[in-house]
Amino acid sequence: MNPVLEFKSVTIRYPGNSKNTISDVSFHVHHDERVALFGLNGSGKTTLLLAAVGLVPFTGSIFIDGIHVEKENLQKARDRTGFLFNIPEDQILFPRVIDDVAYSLVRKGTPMKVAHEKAMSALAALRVSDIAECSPFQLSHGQRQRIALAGALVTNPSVMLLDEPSSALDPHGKLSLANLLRSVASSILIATHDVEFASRTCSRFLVLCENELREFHNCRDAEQCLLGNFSARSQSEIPH
Amino acid sequence: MIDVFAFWGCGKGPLKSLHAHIRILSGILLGCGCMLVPLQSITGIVLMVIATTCWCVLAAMPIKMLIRCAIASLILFFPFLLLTPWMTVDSSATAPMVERFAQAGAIALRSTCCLFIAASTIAILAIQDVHRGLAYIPIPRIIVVLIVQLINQTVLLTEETLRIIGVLRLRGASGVRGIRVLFSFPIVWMVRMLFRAERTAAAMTVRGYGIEAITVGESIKLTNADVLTIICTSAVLVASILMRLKIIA
Repeated sequence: MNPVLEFKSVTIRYPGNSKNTISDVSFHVHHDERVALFGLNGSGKTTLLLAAVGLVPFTGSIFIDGIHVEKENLQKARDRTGFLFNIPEDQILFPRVIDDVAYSLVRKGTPMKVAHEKAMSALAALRVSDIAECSPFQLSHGQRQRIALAGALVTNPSVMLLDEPSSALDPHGKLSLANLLRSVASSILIATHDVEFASRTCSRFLVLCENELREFHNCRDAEQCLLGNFSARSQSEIPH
Repeated sequence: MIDVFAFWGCGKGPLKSLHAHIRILSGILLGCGCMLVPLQSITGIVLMVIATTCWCVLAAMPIKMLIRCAIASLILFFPFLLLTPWMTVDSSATAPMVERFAQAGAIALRSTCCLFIAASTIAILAIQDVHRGLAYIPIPRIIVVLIVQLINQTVLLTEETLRIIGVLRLRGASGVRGIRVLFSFPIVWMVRMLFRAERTAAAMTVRGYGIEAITVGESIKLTNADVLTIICTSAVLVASILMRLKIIA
């Protein structure tokens, strides 16, 4: 079976930086698979997600649902992707919650009424249907995160790229989000620091450290690897 | 809810029950009427003051908001009266002081009325109604997209600014000590705004934001109140134009 998301020898270097942020990284996410991406602060987790939707220049190849992510195919690839930014208010573009969630469907030609019904279902799945008619500006950070997530979920994308989806949620919210993400019919790549949330949601764990990507099938092993990296980094930072 | 949004939708009057696009359109018509009405005649002044008063009463803004508007107009527009000695009337620099005062007063009065109309229109419009309201007004979609995003992003930036101010206060940079951070504030603010703009642009790109964002849903049937409001505000605009063209006195 072809992977839904595939990175092949991807290298990323931000303009002006002498060092690569990501060096020669390859991995894939299969259909209906949930994968967690761990890494220390500044290890390049968000950069990797942004590269997948063509927001960061890279060398190598990225494929989303078989579509090569390059200039000519960007919109096609993005249409198959649900993306959650780590600051949710950045991606809320409408002054009413329901309009924002329904937007991706309306843009693809879904009639307004149907789009709003589906948006309500997405909001209900995230337990925030009661705020559908509110302005996002009146809501808490956690509620905004759920709205942004509903906007990403509503189109049933082939692949979902989620950047810290549990960072603003309460324990109950995390639990219900983990259950929801396990039930959706999309492949999911989650960049997170939340080991417990990842262990509930994902079946495979990637750890990004010092430009190298290591793969684990057990969350505790991934956590140990991450802690090992942290100790190594801390020791190297202690002046002798 | 933080104070920035207090103005949006705070009105409790009957105008709030109109359809969103009728509220916006009526506010625009009335505002245009007040901008165009000539204030050399008593009729013009009476028309403007009565129209503004009716709009404010029907919007029923809370007293606190009315006082804020009054203070804002005092600060913004009444300094025009200080320019009275330098006012020219009909290109004459030697006009009597009373006429010069009337000229300056007309500017202040017109501006004040426009401010009250704008504030009342915002007061009868919840922020979440703006997008749908504008979608039903027959203007180019791209303009609607721009207006919606202007409002959306302004609210976000205001929120961010308030957060920065809150942090400054919390860290003891209020009052006299605030002068020390006065010079670093614009730099901090600007960098944060730039990063936010960059992130929002990225989100718009990923979500494919464009003129499709402004899509009209099901057709709306206007009520009698909608029609009456549009007729009345249009009448004010037409009367103002006719008075300006000196077709009526």
